[in-house]
Amino acid sequence: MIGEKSNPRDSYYSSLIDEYMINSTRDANPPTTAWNNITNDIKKRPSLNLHTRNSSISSLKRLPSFNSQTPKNPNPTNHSNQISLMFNYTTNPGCLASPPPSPGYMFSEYNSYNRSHHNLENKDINDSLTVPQQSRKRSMESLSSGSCNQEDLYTRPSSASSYYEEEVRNTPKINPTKRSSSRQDSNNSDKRQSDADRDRYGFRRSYAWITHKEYSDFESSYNQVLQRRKQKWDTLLNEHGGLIPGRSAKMKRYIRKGIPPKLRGKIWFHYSGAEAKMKEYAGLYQQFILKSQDPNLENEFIEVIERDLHRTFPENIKFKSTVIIDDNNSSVISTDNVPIIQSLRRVLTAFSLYSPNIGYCQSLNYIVGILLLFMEEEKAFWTLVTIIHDFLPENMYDVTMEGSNVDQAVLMMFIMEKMPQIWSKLNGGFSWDIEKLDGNLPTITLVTSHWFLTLFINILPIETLLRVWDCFFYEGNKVLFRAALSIFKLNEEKILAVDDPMEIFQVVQNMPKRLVDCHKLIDMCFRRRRGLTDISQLEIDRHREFFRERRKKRVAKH
Amino acid sequence: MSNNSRQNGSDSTARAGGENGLTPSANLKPVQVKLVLLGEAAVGKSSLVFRFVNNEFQENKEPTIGAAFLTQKCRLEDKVIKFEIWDTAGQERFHSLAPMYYRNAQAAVVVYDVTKAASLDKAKSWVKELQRQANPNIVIALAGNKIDLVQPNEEGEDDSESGRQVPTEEAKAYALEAGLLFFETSAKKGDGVRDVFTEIAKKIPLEHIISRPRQVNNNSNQINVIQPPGANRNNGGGPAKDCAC
Repeated sequence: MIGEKSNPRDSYYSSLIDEYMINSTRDANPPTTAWNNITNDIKKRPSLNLHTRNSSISSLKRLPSFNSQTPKNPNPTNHSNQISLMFNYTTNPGCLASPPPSPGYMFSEYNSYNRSHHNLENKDINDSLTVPQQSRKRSMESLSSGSCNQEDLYTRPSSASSYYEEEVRNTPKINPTKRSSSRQDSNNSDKRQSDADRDRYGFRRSYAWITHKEYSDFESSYNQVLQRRKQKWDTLLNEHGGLIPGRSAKMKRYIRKGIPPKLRGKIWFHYSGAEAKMKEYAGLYQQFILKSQDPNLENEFIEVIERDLHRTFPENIKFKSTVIIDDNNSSVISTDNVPIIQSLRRVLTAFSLYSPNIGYCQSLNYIVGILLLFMEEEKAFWTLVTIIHDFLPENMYDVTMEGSNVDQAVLMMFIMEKMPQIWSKLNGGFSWDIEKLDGNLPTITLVTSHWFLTLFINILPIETLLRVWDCFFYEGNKVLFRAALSIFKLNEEKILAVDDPMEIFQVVQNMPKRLVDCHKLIDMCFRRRRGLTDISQLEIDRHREFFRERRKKRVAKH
Repeated sequence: MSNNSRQNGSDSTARAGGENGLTPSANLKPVQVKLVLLGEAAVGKSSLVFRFVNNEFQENKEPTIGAAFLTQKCRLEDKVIKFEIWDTAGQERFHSLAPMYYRNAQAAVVVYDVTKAASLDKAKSWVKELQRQANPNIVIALAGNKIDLVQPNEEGEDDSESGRQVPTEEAKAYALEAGLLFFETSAKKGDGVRDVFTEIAKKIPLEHIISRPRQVNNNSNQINVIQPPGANRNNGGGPAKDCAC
């Protein structure tokens, strides 16, 4: 159990650190500080604690709540006053420090890096303009070919009629030959579709939520935008002699307008602060890799990680594991010859050694997966470390997942405060009572917790996701909250139209998947005048502190 | 991005209430049954529900984060049942969310993998927790998934049972003792999936949920998955056909 104090990996970890110290003193630039100072440096933020566990937090669990039937007569005009009253206190905004201004980064290796590591820049424009005439599955057709009116969006894209008719004719028990032949068919059609119907990142376009027309309309205009942005960025970098400029208002504007796909990896890596970290601890990643290959190493997470490797973006061409037909004519999934999955395995395993109190949490596989599409392995590792330890609150992914619970309470709080009408549809009996948000969370957080845990991966369409990530790496954690609130705001009408309390889960679950227009979301995130999503990191951290304390007290009481 | 069709079927069914035009009496109010799927990671919870809702199978299903919400309407004898399904994340640390899933649930499907003995232990601990903390009338089904991996192949060779780590009899005996419904399923091939939901629907005291059951001429006592609205365009709203899992 990770929650125990005497974790064998802790002693293992410190021995590894000692080893690292010994090795690194042989290096040209030996760190002169003791390891404790190094870890403090890594941590950067006072709230971070890599090595100690807060036992009171580990014992925190959500308690089952009761379906409290509160009178449905909220008073939207009054509640925000109550809320602001409750937050009339100050806390030390420890988590606010943005990454220090950067000295700039040489672009000398940029070209060769991209040539050797990525195929992103090849054939993007032509490919992305292609709109396949035939959708991958018969089942999707009714939805994707139809017009995009409200009714169609709600139509279930399933192989409905044809399927049922077939079944009535056939005996209930499907015979094996029939089954294998139908599988053959679908394999063939998969192959036929596979190349034409992928985006520039290797993902298969899904028409479950976005119609062909929406895709092509968006992509044809977005490709022009990308071209224009690329020119702007090239000019900007030339002006700085190939270096990444320091932080500035102009840079922020450039980033909000989107980083060109080819530059993304570099820019993320640089502004997140991961680059500085990797420089400082050069060689540490390799040490972790070596250790993880030690046959005597006991790491409970290796098996858990292994279970998810072939399940990470199985539809992406770069992650597709090969299916081998063995002698018994049964198929075996193999990841042995998929380079990006090998990298994924190493990064996740190294991270489980680096942060033993987190180890591995489902979600990290997706985050690393996206990073690996844009940067090489070691950089992806350090960017992951930076995201988790510098950008996200503590305990987000550890066994307690308390950081995630607290952030959900904070998100609910913001919705309650800024979008009272939407909140009245979401709250599921929580009404306007902020007191109730401390221990229990509204059921809707089962849906929204995914948003923050995967940083919107598998939630937002890829281009929209990447735009959010661009801003996230430059502006920090608040971007996640702004994006979440913007998703709600953009779907306000849809939410207000819901009257079945169970329907709300589906609406909230599916609405972000339709946000193919990334400009809309980014505009909403950073719109000042409306103020709905204009929240500062300070506010977020205050709310976090508030809920964290209350939840702790609540556990102490029980 | 791979917004693949994991939650397909969700939007429509929630919205389609009464629009199915099955029979003249089809506009009767569906009985809502809240159901939760629990079990260790990678035993096939999402695949089971994907098979039930969309009748499809995906080879490498992506791990579920938090929970996914799906619905499926079915017909059992004279009633229309709408399953509201929470498909949950399997990794241990997501456990703290569990009370939210099973709060007010009328049914639970606890899934294990017949090729992994440890997954039955995890299933047992879920059952224990449900029996201690969930709604006391909750109907619990135990489902041993992935039997396609241990079934004798087409040539009739029977040495492929070797991959099995949980003998049917052992799990069955446990289920009997704990008062659970018991099934072995294959989400990949569809075997047994519909039975799980049929038997749950039969066991749930629907009369308590529905106030005024109506007469519908349908003699089948097997569950019928009701067609989504799109289907009705083609067949002019005939009676619901058998779901074929």
